[in-house]
Amino acid sequence: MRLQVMTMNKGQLWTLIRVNMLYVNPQATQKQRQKDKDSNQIVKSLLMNYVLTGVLFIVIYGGMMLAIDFPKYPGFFTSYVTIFTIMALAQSVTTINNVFYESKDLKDYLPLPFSQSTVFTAKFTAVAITVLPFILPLLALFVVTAIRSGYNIILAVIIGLILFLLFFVLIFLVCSLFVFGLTQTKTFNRHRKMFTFLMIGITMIAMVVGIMYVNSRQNAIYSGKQLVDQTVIGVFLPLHQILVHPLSYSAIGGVIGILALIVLGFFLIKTQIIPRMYRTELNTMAAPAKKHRQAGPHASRNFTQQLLHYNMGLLKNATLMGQVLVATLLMPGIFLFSFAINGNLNLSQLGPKYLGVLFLTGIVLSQMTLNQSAIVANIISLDGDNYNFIKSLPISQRTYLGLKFKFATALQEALLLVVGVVIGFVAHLNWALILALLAGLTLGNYLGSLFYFYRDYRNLVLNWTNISQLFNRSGGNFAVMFLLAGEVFGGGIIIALYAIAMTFNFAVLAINVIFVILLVAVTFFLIHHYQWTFWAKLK
Amino acid sequence: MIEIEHLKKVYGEKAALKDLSLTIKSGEIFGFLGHNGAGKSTTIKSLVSIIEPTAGTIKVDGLDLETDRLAIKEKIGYVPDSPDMFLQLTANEYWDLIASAYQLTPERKAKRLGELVGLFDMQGVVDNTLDGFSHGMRQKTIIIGALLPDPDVWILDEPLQGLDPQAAYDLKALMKAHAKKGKTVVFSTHVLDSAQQLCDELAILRQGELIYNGSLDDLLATEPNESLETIYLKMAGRQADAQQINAIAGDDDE
Repeated sequence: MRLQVMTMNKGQLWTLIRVNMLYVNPQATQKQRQKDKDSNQIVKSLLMNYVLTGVLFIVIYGGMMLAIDFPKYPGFFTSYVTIFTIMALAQSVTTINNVFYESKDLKDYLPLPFSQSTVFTAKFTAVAITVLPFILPLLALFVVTAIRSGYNIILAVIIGLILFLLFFVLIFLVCSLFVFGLTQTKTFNRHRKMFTFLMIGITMIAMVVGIMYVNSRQNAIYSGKQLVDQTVIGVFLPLHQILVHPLSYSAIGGVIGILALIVLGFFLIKTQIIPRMYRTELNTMAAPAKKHRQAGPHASRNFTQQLLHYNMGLLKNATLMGQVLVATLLMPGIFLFSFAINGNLNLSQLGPKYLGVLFLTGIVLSQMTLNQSAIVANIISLDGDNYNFIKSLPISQRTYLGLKFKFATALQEALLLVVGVVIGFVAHLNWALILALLAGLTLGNYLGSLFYFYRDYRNLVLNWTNISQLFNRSGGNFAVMFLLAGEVFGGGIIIALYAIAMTFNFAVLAINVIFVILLVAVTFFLIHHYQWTFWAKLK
Repeated sequence: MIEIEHLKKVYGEKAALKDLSLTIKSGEIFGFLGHNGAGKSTTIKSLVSIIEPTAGTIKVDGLDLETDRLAIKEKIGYVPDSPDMFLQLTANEYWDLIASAYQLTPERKAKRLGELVGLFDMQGVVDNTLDGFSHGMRQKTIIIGALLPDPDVWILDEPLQGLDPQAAYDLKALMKAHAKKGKTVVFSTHVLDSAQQLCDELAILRQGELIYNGSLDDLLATEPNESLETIYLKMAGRQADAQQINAIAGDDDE
């Protein structure tokens, strides 16, 4: 197919940007709709949110950056650039995937008289607007560095802005080439879900590992009262040179290099990516259904196996699994990585009196990994329209939902057990304490799963079109952040107090007895509560 | 007028459409009939640029789809076989998108939309998002969108599916009126009654091949004592089924 004429109508472009903005953050859009706002007001409000977030980032990071004389400390400069670049890369990859693939609307524009260039420009703009706030601290860094280099403020802002825009475009192009290049390979299209999951998962992990790597290779910040520069990260040094010594060879070379890469990136996207992308989309659409290999004769599966197989199928959503893994593994992963690189987590000396502490640690850890993006918190809503149909079948709701609950809880449990064992080994815990930790994880997972499963049932959404709609029911991200902060700090304080009491042999028996009594009481209460408010009421 | 020549679509080793050639004249309602997988939707999706044909040419009013794609799209209003799209938009936002695509002036859009929303009884729900609509309501929203720019060529893939009787009646009347104005209406259906009510010309497809192309009257004239259903089943290679249906019908009569 020949690429459509590169005409672009401003009215059409704005309409498409508006539609894509509504799609890029479905939860925010839905919330605004509940306030009876029309699409123009919603888009303005979304844009205002991005602007405010960006300004907030600039003020916070700009304020922090003012303290450092970046022209004299290229190591600090390049470290900041690295961290924000990694964050921007991760955010760009996931947003490009959401806007171009998760929204699944590319094919819907095909019959309409929009030129391809208009559709793509609108989508790229929506991505750029979403990603921009996360990279804006770099603008503050560039401007602060330029000011410190002796330019007057207006010139510093202009230079900082130009460099920021060039760098932003470059990052954007790199991410676009990565995502679109990958999605056009035959292997990707053959294993689309798995690759999307890997792409998002690897990006997330790369972000965490990258930031921690940058931190780990830094020197102590102060030596006496003297600020010590950090290790320079060479690839970003030309940016420093451009701001500090703009007429040096390396600065001029840096500008030419960035411009050359941008031109090359645009050329590749225009000639290689966009035409092929539509072609791929066209050819994969409406293709006859693939024949799936049967693991065995279908009829031999009993009812439970059929339901397990069905529930397993529901999990074939890359975003969901990415979120689940990030939510479950990220927090323990960060702790483990920090301790591992410092090599200072050796708890081999802990004895049996710490069994309760480890059990409690397991419970707290399980709560930190359970949130609204967990499988158990979405497994009923994942049914979508199937749920109402299944209700019409002669299947007991208690049996059906009970099986779903066990399935989702078991999956989460499997992940947690792996996390628990790894923590046990990294911390050199003895076997009894590892078992106590695992038991705590198991109980915490069971009780937390009861809460989140019932929550999913109460806030059931069956007509979702984007999985992230499910993650933001009743509370949304802020609720999760508050809950997580409460769990980390509250749980941490209680564990610390408990451990201190054990360390100093303060009322060991009494505290352990109180802990067991409280534990049994809370467990009994919660199980009883959910039994009567939920399970017993199911028909 | 739409001219299709040697149209072919192959998925891997499976040919969904084999060398299809036909002409759809202006001023008539043209129906595509066939079983599931016969090639109706593939043909229609090729006409509206959703599917890229493996070979062949498509011309609309003399314009070649390969070279004048955008101009052809401006002439076509399309209703897809599934109305599950743009579900996070409200009906009004969806129509805004369509109006923008076809570059309608606000006055023209408001006038036409007022008529169509009234006709399809959509007042009161225009600010609701499509994901909360029933299948029929989504179908009405998409149909209104397709008719909003008043395009010369209507291409409707299973348009009557999910519509209530009133809306189905109104749409059929609109299709007839549009054809009467000398414009083109192309639609696909599984429902032979609808085909019989509407079609001036029809094409019957089987496994990607054209097995009949002509007027409905000519088709019925081939076997004057048989119903369209029986003729269709015979053409589709299901004589035994046709006989069985007749036998069952006979048993019921007794």
